[in-house]
Amino acid sequence: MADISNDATFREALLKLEAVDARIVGAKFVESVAPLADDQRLRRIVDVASSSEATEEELEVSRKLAKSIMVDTYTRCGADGDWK
Amino acid sequence: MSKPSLERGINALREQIDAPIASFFSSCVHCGMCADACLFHTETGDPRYVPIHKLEPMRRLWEQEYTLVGRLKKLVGLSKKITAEELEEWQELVYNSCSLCGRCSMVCPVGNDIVYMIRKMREGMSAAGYAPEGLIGASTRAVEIGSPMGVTIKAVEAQVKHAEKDLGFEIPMDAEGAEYLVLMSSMEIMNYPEYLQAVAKIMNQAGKSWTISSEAFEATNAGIQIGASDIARVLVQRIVDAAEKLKVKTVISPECGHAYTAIRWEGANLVGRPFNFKVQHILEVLDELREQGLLKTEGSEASRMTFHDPCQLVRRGGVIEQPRNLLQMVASDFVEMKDHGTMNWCCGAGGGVSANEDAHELKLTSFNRKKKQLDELKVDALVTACANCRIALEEGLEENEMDIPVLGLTEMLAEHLVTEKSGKEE
Repeated sequence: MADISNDATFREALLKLEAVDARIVGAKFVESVAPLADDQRLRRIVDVASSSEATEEELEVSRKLAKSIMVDTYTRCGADGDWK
Repeated sequence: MSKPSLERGINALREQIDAPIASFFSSCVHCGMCADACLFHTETGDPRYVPIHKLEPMRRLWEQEYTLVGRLKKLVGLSKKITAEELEEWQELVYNSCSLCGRCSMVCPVGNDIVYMIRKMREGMSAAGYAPEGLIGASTRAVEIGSPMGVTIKAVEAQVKHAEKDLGFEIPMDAEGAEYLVLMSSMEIMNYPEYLQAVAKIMNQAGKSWTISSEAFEATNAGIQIGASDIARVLVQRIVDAAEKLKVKTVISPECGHAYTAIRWEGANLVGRPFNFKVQHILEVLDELREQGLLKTEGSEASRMTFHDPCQLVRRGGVIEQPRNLLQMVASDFVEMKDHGTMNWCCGAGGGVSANEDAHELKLTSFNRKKKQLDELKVDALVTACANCRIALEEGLEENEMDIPVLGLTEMLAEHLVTEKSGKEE
């Protein structure tokens, strides 16, 4: 396995991956930061996305759920985002 | 903000009755045309949401104190006094059920600027303490922190560093003498950081000098939304000071509706003198770059797309053709919504509605109008140029289980920029 020591090489390597592998790498990243979001629904999405055998239907359901979480977690205009 | 009081409420409303307000009230022919222009009324059928009705306490005050008939009625005890309960009730009507979209002003047959009237009423209501908590908090943070959403300059700098890493080139901060000063909304910093990268890529390609100010990065103006000119003035002045300090030629208002109204159309009046720089919305700048041949794109989106016109851009600002010119460059199957352009229907979240938790349900109900527009078109994607519209649209689509992505036009253009690599391949 080639050593990756910088952001640019990492991006290039990601672009070379097949779609399934790219999804699994993405899922692994989400898994590492998911505890910050405190949303149990993420667990199910990560499980599906991490699997190389996920069906099209499972992936579609997960995509819609992920989008729903994304919309839920937007900070609305004027709301206190506490971004110090 | 201190506790609401009836006496202060009446005094504050009285102070807002100026010559235009008096002439608008006396000109109203009670035709009801504004009712059919307001999405809060059309989507609920609630007569309290008829735009001119939202001004009733101020109208009664005007009648009782500034008209002969009203004074005589008051003298003989025939006029109805304004009560604290009414002001509380009207707080909801004037803030929750009005996005300051301006459609009512467009249809009024006698030319009454009903949005102007609502804003004057908000000025009185907020001065008297009748304003939603969400907007009070946003205004306070805007003045004290520099962002209605609590984004500090440290957070902006972190986003800038992140973007620089992604882009591979520097984003100029506090660069004196730059041509453009780029403002952002906190929404873009927090929810859509791609916007900053998109602007950087476009400016880089166009060879334009630009900068972000560490003293005024925020474009939005909570003072305009809550109806507090003193706050609005402070926020505009902050931008003016930064623009003058950096000696920029043009200040760019971001993909935000009311920020554009605040700085472009009301800013000079708020600070009491003309600007010595130009103010443009980002779409106006991009369209100029297109005209000059400095915005070069390649390829186009094949999916069926439409554009949601942000109210403040089209009705207050006349920015109508620019987004369409730009979309032509990158969207091969573009279709228009019914009532597009100056009469487009609001997303339901403008004018501080989105910052007001109490208005959440009503906002989602009013989205039904946009749903109907989109159902007619059957599009694959929806493009807009306001971060607040964008979130409201995404929220409404999600609520209605409509799987349509919402895209920012600036980001979409940046995705299609001719890169050095693709340029060499040609």
